[in-house]
Amino acid sequence: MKIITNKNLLLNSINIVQKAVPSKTTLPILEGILLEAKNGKLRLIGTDLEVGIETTINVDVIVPGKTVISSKMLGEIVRKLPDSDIELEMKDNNIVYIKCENSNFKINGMTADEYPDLPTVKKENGIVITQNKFKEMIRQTIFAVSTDEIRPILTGVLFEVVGDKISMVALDGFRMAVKNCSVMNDTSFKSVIPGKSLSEIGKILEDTEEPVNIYFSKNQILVQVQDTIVISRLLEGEFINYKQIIPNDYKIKITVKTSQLIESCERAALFARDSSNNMIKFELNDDVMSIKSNSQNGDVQEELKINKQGEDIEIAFNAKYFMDVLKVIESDNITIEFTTNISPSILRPLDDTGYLYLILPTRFKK
Amino acid sequence: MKKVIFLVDMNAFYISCEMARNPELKGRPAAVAGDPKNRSGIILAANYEARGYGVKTTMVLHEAKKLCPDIIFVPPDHVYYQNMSNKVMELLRRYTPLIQVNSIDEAWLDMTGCEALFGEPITIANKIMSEIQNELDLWCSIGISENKFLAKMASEIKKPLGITEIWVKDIAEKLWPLDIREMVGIGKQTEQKLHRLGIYKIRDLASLDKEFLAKHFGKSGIELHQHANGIDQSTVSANAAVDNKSISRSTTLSVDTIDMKYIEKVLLDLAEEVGTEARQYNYKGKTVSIVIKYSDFQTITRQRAVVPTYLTKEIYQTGLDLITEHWDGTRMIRLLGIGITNFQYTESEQLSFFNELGLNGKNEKEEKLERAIDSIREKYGNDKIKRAKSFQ
Repeated sequence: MKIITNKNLLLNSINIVQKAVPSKTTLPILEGILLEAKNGKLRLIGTDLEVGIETTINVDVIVPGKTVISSKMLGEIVRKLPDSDIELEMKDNNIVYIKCENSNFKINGMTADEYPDLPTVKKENGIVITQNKFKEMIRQTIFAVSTDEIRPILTGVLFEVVGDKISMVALDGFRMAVKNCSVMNDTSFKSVIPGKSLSEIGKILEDTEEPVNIYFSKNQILVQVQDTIVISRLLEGEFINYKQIIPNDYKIKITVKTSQLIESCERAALFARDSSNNMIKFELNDDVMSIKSNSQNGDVQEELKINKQGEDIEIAFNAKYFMDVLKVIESDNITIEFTTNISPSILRPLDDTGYLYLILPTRFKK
Repeated sequence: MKKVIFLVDMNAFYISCEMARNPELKGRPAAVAGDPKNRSGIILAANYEARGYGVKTTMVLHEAKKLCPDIIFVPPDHVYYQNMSNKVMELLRRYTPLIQVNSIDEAWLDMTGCEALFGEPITIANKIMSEIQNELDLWCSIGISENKFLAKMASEIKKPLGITEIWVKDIAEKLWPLDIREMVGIGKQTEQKLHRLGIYKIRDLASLDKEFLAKHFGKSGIELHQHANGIDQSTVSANAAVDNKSISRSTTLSVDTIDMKYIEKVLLDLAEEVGTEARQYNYKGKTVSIVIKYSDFQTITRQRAVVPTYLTKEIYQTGLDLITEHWDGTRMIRLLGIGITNFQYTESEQLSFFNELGLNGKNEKEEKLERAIDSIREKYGNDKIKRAKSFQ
């Protein structure tokens, strides 16, 4: 194999596939990146067997062929090379020579035949969505996935397509993020994508109107973003029937400025860190919302102007669960609906009806 | 103010509990004893009728049978004894909040300043004794003094159903004539050592030089000297209602085994005890752990994080999973244990979809079931309802 390519182009593609390369593995070949040159293209693949990423770039192929090179070493070498043309050549015995201006590297490759094939996903059942839309859907839900392996299905995000509507749902038992979107499709399916895979997909997506193709099979999802595809295993099992958790009614509704709420919560959380449940308390009295938190070291009280319908209420939350969502909301104002201080509250951006965040309070002693 | 300390000691507690729920045992020699086939086949508590024949605690069963051919053996039911003990302690709390529970069958009460409420110490003691007798059908002895040590000594003097006062002014008459072996805190070893030093009566101990005792017994020597002189500065420290870090049970199997059916049964019984106690205190554990001791005495402990639970079924299932994962199925097992630890902090509680909204449908059902079993057992006795597995 022998190719000539540009440093930045190569580095960029290495960065993409590296997201799937495991740092620790019992299969040493997986620590490498598969490089395959043919027909004027270089294909790079990284996988940890859970998720696989493949990207293709245009290069000068002088001799076709393939090899596997340590991901860590290849990445570091290319990163440090000058911004110029790179010649990469594999000779006999899997020895790889990398040449760039006055630098010459010689490294040991691995046998490409031993590298596992990525699973195939038929491009039949799928949808198209813009990159920025999909990226936002991921960003607004993924933080709510469970990190607890006790219920493995909750470490993933539910991806549900019904006609022209897509819903993504993540919940960890204490809060739930639901994002709905419309797309030009007419198909239906339901699957649970591992949170880790989805987070890597999110990193590849850009803030553009360019399309992403998403295909599903029974056990795999394939996401195609231009010249890159990501294939991930899906989580097995039935996702929780999330719709039954969403209350239909509320007693109190407030509107508040997002930026003010997040700043107040951040300050209040300084003391909440010391408490067992990271607890901050909201007290709603007429059009004032007090946010309180205390610890052995002291206490804090913040006051915010709100617009309130309904009676007064005192309710406590884990500060993290509140700040997580406030960080991913773009709207200037949000509404929060309360019922009692031991039932779920619902947070919605004022100008985005597609998003809903449900959060369970913390029971506190008076 | 002069302190007034009671030591309430339940007489022949286990067997008295058995007699309370089975009147047929009354008036006949009987004892709570481990299964004769078991390694634990010894007398745990004999009633006074049996003691008349010379039957003593820790005696092996056939020995007891030889001394008293008509003796009735009752297998132990520790959950029941603990429940009865809790009832006794509850009753005692009517008189003072300052109770230090020393063991399942005895507790110190600080009654200082209660005369105005309940009368002279001896009057109060009589009242306590008769209430325990009438309400719970149990016997106790009560020692009265101005410190814990003397109260304990006093309670030993007259059993059963005795009330004894030993105040500091009485020690020359009531304490000093006793053999040193009678003194709380002196066991066989210390007794022999003291004998070698020519000390036989508590009087001898009291009159000795403190430094001399310190030289031979270290710190505990000084304590012995003080006790012999009726001095004890320790205070009755009310036990926190629960200060547990973990709840666990373990048992040595009657024979070393690799029989999975038997292991399952033992584990379930242990998990049941753990679960019952945990539910009583509303303590949910975030970790389930097991202990396996092999026949060669090598011991392993393994644990697993779980969704906080106090349900017998979940504790049992997690324990069983741990055993199947970590035991090869061929090494003989001698002892099994299971427990929960890492309790959920309950000062403030993060609500969860699974509990609050019943997404754990199965658990909710199981919780109702186990709570129902708990209340049946509390009302009618532990052996009234059992899991089918326990009958095998």
